[in-house]
Amino acid sequence: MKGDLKDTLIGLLPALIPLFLFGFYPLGYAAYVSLFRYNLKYPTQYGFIGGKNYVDVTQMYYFIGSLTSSVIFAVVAIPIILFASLALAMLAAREFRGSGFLQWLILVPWGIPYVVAGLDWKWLFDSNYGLINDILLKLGVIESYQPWLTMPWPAMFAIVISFIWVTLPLPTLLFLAGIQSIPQELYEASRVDGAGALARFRAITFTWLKPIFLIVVILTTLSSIQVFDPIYVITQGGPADFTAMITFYTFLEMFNFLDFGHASALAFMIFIVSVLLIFAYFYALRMGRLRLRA
Amino acid sequence: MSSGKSETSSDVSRRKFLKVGAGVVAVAAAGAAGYYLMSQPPTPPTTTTTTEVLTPEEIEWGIWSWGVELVQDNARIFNEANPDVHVKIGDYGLDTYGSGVATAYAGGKPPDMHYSTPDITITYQNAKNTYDMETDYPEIKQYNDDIYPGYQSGLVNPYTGKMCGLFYYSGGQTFCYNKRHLEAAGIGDQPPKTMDELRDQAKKIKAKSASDKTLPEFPLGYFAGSWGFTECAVYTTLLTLTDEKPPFLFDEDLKPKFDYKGSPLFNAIKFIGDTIWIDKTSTTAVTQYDEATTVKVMGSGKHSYIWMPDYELAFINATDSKTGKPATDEAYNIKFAVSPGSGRIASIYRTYLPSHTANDSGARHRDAVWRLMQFTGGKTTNTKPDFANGKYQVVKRLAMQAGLAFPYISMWDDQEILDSMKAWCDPLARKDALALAYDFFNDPKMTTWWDPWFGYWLGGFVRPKLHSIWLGEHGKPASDDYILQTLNDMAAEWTKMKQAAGG
Repeated sequence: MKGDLKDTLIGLLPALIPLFLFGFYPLGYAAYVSLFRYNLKYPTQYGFIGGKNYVDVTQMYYFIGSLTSSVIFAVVAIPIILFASLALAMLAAREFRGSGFLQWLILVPWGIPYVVAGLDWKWLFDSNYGLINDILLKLGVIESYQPWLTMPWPAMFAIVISFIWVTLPLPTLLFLAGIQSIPQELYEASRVDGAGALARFRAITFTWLKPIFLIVVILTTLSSIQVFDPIYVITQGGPADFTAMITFYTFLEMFNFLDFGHASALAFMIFIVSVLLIFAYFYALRMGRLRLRA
Repeated sequence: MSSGKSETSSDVSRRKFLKVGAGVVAVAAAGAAGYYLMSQPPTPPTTTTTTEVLTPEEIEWGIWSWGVELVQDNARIFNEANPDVHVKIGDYGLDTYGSGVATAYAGGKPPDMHYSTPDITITYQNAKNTYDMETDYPEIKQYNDDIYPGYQSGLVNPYTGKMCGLFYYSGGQTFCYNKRHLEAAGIGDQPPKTMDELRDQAKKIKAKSASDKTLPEFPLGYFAGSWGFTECAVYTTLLTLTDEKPPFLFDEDLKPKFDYKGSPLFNAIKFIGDTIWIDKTSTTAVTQYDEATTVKVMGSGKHSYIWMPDYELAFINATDSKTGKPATDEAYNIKFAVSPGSGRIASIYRTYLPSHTANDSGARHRDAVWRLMQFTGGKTTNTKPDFANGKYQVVKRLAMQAGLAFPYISMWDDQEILDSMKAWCDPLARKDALALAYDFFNDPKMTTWWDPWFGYWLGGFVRPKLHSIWLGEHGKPASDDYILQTLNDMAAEWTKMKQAAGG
C-alpha cells in the first residue's frame, strides 16, 4: 500500500512540479504580497500592513465602477452564451446534409486567441473604416459612420461579442454531448403520448441538460470574471472607463501603477470568487454524474 | 557473487601495484626535472614589464522595442571604436517597458543606462536609484546652452537639482493643417493665427463639406486617446488658449490651482467639448485615437487640423517605396505651423537615464557609460566625446532616418538634417513650432503619483473623467458647473494621492 502511494506520487511528479511551481507558488506569493505595502514607485516604504490593501482597493476611485462593469459584462454575456450554445448544439445534433461541416465550423473560433479576436472586432467596429459601419450605412440604418467604441453600450457589446465568439464552442460541445446522450426512446414515448415540440424540449431536453446548464453557467462565469484581453485590445477600458473591468484595473495596478500590493489584493479577491465558482462547478459535475447514472 | 577472501586478496595486490607504480613515476619525474635544470644555461636577471590586458567594460543599454536594428547598429559602431567597452542591448518591450524596467530595478540589476519617460524617471529618482551625470561630469551642463528652454527641465533631477542625462528624442504636439482643405474651402493657404480663427475656419470647412465630399465633416481633430496623449491634447489646448505664465496646474507646493471656473484647464476642457457638441466640427471618436489611428485619419483627410507628435507627419507625407505613389490620400497636403493662440505646445521627450549601476562599479564603468551617453545623446567625433567640435552623431541619425525631432538648437543649422526633412515637411516651420514647446511634465515638477492620477498610459483618475465630458455623458456639452465639479474631484484625488505618497 505504501509502495503504491510512493509509486503514485513519483508518477504524478511531472504534473505536480509545474503545478506547484507555476500554480500554487505564485498564488501563495500573491496572497503573501497582498499583505504588504509593496509599490515599486515607493520601494523604501515596503512593509507588512495586514489587510490594508484589501480595504484600500475597495476605496479606490475605480473599484465600484470596475466591479459594476464586470457585473454588466457577465450579465450580458452569460445568457447569450447559454442560449446561443444550446441553439447551436441542438442544430448540430440534427442529422442533415452539412451537419458535419457545421460542427467543424462551430469549433473554429476556439482556436483563435482572444487578442486576435479582439483585434478583428476592433477593426470591424472602427469609426472610420469599420465593416459594421459600412453595412449599416448601406442598409440605411445609419446616415454616417458612427464612433461605436466611444459609446458605452456598443463598446461593451463589442467586447461581449468578441468574447462570445471565442468562448462559444466549449459550451456548445458540452450541450451537444448532453443532447447526444439523451435516449431517443424518451422522445419516441413522448410523441406517442402526444407531446408537442415545446413540451418535449421542456420535459426531456431541458430536464436532461440541467446539470450541463449549471456547468456552462459556472464555466462561463469563471471566464467572464477573468476576461481581460478583449478589453485591453478593443477599448482599453473606455469609453470613460465604462468597460474597465476589475481585471483591467488589476493589470493597471500591477503594470502601470506598479503597486504590487494593490494588484495582489485585487487578484486574490478575484481568486476567491473563482474558487467559490469552482466548488459550485464540482457540485454541478457530481449532479451531472448522478443524472447519467440514473 | 565472489567470496570475501578473493575480493581482499585482489584489493591488496591492486594497492601494492599502484604504490609501486606511483613511486616509479615520482622518481622518474624528479630525475627528469633535475636533469633539465642542470642542463639549462644560467640566465641573466631581467627587468620584466607586464602589460595589463583589461577586459572590456560591459554596459547594458536598456531600450524599448522601437528601431531595434538601428539601435543595435549604433551599439556596434560604438563597440568597434571603443574596444575597452562592450555595450549590450537590453530590450524591455514596448507596452511593458515601464514594468520591465521597474522589475529590473526591483531586482537590483537595472540597465546602466536606459530610455526613460518623465513618469518613469521620477519614480527612480524618488527612490534614489539613479545616478546624476553632473555629479562627476559637470561638463554635461554645457549641453544646456544648446537646448530649447521648453526641454531643459526634462534633464534635471528635481530632488538634487543636477542634470541626470541627455535626450534621446524631443519633439512636441505640433499643430498640423491640411492645406488642400483650406484652399478648397476658400480660406486660402494660411493657417489660423488665433483659436477663434481656428474655430471659424473649421466651421467654414464643415459647411462646405455638405457640397464638397472631399472636405471633412469634422475638420478639428484632437489626439486625445491613448498612449499618454490625452494629456498632451488637454495641455496643448490649454497652452494655446492662455497667455498666463506657468505653472498652470499646481503651485510650487504642488497644490492644485486649476479648480475654478475660467482656469486655463477649465477653458481647455470646455473648448474641446464645445467644438464637439456646439460647433460639431469635431467628433467623440478623438477619444479613441492612438498614434496609428491619428496617422490614418490625417492621411485620409478625416480632419483638417490636429496637434500631433511632429514625427507622425513623416508617415503621412510619404511615398510608397514599392509603387512610387503617395503613401496616403493627403500626402504632402499636411503642413506644420506655429500653433494658433499663444503658439505654445506641449513638448514630448524621452531621455537617456543612468541608473545607480552606472556608478556602482567604479570610475571606469561610470566613464564608459558617460562615453556611451554622449555618443547616443550628445556630441562626439568618431564616437569619442567632443563637445567643442563634435557632432550629435546618433541624434542626427535618428533625425535623418526616423524623422525624430531634437532639442539641440545647433542641429537646426545642419543643412544635411534640414535637407532630409524637406521630403516631408518644411523644416523651418517645424523648428518654429517646436521652439515654443512647453514642458508640461514639469508643471512645475513631476511627481510619482502624476501617472496614476492622470492615467498617463491607461486608466487613471483624470483621463476617464475628461473623456466622459467630451463624450457628452453629462450634457452636450457639459455645463460649466459640471466641468467645475470634475475639476474639484480631480483636485481632491490629487491631494489624496499626494498624501498617500507622503507628500
